[in-house]
Amino acid sequence: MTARLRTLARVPGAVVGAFVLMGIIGVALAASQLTGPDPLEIAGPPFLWPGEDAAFVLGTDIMGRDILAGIVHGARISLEIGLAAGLAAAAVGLIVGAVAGYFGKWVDQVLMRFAELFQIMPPLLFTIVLVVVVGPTIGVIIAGIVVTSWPQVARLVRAEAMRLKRSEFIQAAVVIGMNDRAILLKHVAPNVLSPAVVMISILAGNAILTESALSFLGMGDPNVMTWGNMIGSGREALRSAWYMTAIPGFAVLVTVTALNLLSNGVNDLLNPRRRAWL
Amino acid sequence: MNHSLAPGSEPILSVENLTVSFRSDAGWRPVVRDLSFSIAPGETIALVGESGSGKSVTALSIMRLLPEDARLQGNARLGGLDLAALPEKALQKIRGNDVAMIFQEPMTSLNPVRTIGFQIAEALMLHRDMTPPEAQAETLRLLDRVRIPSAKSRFKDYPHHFSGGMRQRVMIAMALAGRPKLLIADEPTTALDVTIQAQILELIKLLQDEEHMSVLFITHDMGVVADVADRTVVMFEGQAVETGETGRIFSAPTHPYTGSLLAAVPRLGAMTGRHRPLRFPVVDRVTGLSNIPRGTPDTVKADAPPVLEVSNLTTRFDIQSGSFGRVTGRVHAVENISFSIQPGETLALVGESGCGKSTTGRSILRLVEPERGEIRVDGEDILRLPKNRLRDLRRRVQMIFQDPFASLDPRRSIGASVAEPLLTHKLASRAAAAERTVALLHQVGLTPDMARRLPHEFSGGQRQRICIARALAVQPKLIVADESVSALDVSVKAQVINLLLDLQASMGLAYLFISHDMAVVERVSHRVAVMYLGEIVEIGPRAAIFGNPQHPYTRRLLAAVPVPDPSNRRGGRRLPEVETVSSVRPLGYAAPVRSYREIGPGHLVQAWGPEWDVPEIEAAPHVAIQHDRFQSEHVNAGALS
Repeated sequence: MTARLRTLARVPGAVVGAFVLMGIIGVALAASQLTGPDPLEIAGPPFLWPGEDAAFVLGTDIMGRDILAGIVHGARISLEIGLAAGLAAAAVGLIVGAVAGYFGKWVDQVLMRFAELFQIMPPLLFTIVLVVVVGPTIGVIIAGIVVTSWPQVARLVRAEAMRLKRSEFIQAAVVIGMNDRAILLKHVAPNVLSPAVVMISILAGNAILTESALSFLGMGDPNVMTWGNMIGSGREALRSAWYMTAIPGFAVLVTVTALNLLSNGVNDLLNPRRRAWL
Repeated sequence: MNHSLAPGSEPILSVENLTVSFRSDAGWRPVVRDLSFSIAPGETIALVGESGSGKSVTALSIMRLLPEDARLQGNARLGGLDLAALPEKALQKIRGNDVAMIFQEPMTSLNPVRTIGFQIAEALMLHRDMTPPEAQAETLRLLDRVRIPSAKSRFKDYPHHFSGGMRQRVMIAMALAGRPKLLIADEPTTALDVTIQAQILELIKLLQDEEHMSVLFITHDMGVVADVADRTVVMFEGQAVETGETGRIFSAPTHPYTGSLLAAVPRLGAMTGRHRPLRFPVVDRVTGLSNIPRGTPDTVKADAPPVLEVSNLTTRFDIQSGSFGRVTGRVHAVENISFSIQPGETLALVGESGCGKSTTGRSILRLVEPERGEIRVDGEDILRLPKNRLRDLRRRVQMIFQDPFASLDPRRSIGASVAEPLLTHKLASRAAAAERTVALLHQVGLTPDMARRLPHEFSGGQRQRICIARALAVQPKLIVADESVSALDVSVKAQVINLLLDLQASMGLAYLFISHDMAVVERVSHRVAVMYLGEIVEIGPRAAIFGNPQHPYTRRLLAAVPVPDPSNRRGGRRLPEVETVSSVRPLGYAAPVRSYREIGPGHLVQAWGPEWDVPEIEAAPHVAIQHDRFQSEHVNAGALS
């Protein structure tokens, strides 16, 4: 364990990213304790600049809602969306990619053409269409993001599975008499897991950005407080009270940066170990 | 070998007390310790040792090509220059000019998107300040020097147009471009087939005489050492344990390690007069004492029905090209071969890369689907088995691969790997499988407490033992060993072969032993089949194949094996300059009908055609003539791109 911590220290970016993320998660968990239970509640006079009133450290928005409460509660939703979308996309991509890469031939052709169908759709546009048709709920937004982002993972995992398939230990498993399902589960999946894990944090960052963009366009879920919603509602007062957009915007920036730092670091951590193994 | 220089003349290279250390978590870890040797002009020195002995690091440190986290102590002098103290700029002048280097893998050493002509000419313009036309003419001359046939037409060819041996010739031509005084050859023939290896060794010797170069030859192969080296430095764990005249090292090694290394080297012809396989002697590395290998019992059950019968097996692969995947040709990997193996017998399948020996092994396990033929295991034709009954086959036939590291899942403990076949076939409960695993590990000479470790915690030899244990788990009758000892160091190789022989004696196993190494094959096999371009050209009892080879290909193969005996150098024996032919055929190619002749009991030889009546070519005069022709031809040679 200490050895692993030492290798972790060799990628300072990942450590910084992990700490920032843990901080955000902590804040999100304790949101109701830190501020009021409902961020949508009108708490004070509108257009309070940060620092103007000690009761509202980050000021209030157009309608007099506490911006700090919005940030803190919004963190919860943003992280939920990011994590759910990242995990779901990685899981779908892992399964499709591993199956396509392992079986090859027509299975690969069919699955990859199918993946391309989704890959050529612009993620934001697809999600907008989905939201317009089905309705603006968090679940729909997550689904839209997952549907357009799993092919990235599938491609990555497929390439790795193709390489693994040629390796002798997979051949050895065939010779032992294992069937395809057992080989996929016991040998292929654990070995393609690390690229998929790296992708989770990148996808999570992208999902948060997509949700923010949607909300900015006024297509987010209006019943929950998200960073995107805050940016969207602050847009109307952008010239007179830019802080209403800048503060949640900064929160998005910090979170996405932290996620990217972490994924880069995890990538570095997993790679040399793999090189030492092969 | 040029001995014309007076003894005591200034050495080309002298290395004194060289120590190279790498930074690790625990501080500086020395990989070469206190190494000293020198090379006289025109002399060949061999650095020999097993993997991890520090021989390649030594070569890299002479060229100062070590990674940043390495530390170099001691002296390395080239002529009058101290290599350790030179600034990087001066070193760049030396590399390629005074010292040139060739590597093991000639494909990765060449730039795949440049023609070979361009690459050699580039080296010439860089090192010898030539103008493009001069460089082009000199390139043609160099290609000719390294005996590349019709050099002029190959000038604009890309590296992938060349075979492995030809690429190594290109690398040598490039090394010669700077007219080096010293050539460092780091395992230059290890990746090549024996017949090609023999040609390249011959070429290096020839060029050395012509150019008065010194050669530092790095190798793990004692046969190669005996063939080329004037003096030999034996390395073990970073230290030179013995240095001396090659003849003396081989006839009277003083250090126990040298003795153990030499005892483990299989020698062609050592088995004359013996009928059964022979274990390798085990030598104590500390005392140097060797035991007399105990004989193997007669394991072959000649009257029993054969465990494996292959008849008229043909396996082909389609070559697709174009965007629509049209089939444009076929690799006739295995073409109409037949053989059988008795219980307890070892049949060796020998041949060079691309001859179809591995495909044969894979066809038997149905890792590839044969086109036609019959493969009977215990009398049952397994090519007719539906896919879902293949599990049955895989209880009776098992396989051991070449690379033991690659054939173990890096993320699974070796205990789990060994128990896997038992659980897959539901031969044992989890608890019983764990017990069996312990017994199996014990059987292959490992301790049960190792079961929890991961593959990367083991050495190459131990890993191959693990793979053997895994193969034994289902108690197969036949094991296909595909180059299973080729990647192992000599002493480890000897131990693993001893293990295989012991297991054959105790379990009555039959082996299909696929190998390119004739000396190992002679040691382990009862019968031998020689493959060439997908066909068996000669098959018979081991003694008959080695003692009375009939087919020209078998003879060529045997003649090319390096003999670990400096007093019996190839010297005068010129080998024919043959190129590897490929088994890629156009669509609709009909393989010729072959007939076999019986020479002795069970000894069959394929009848061969006139294409085998190649006269043994003398290289030297032929080259002189070509040389003149190119001098006159370069006039109209265009400028380089």
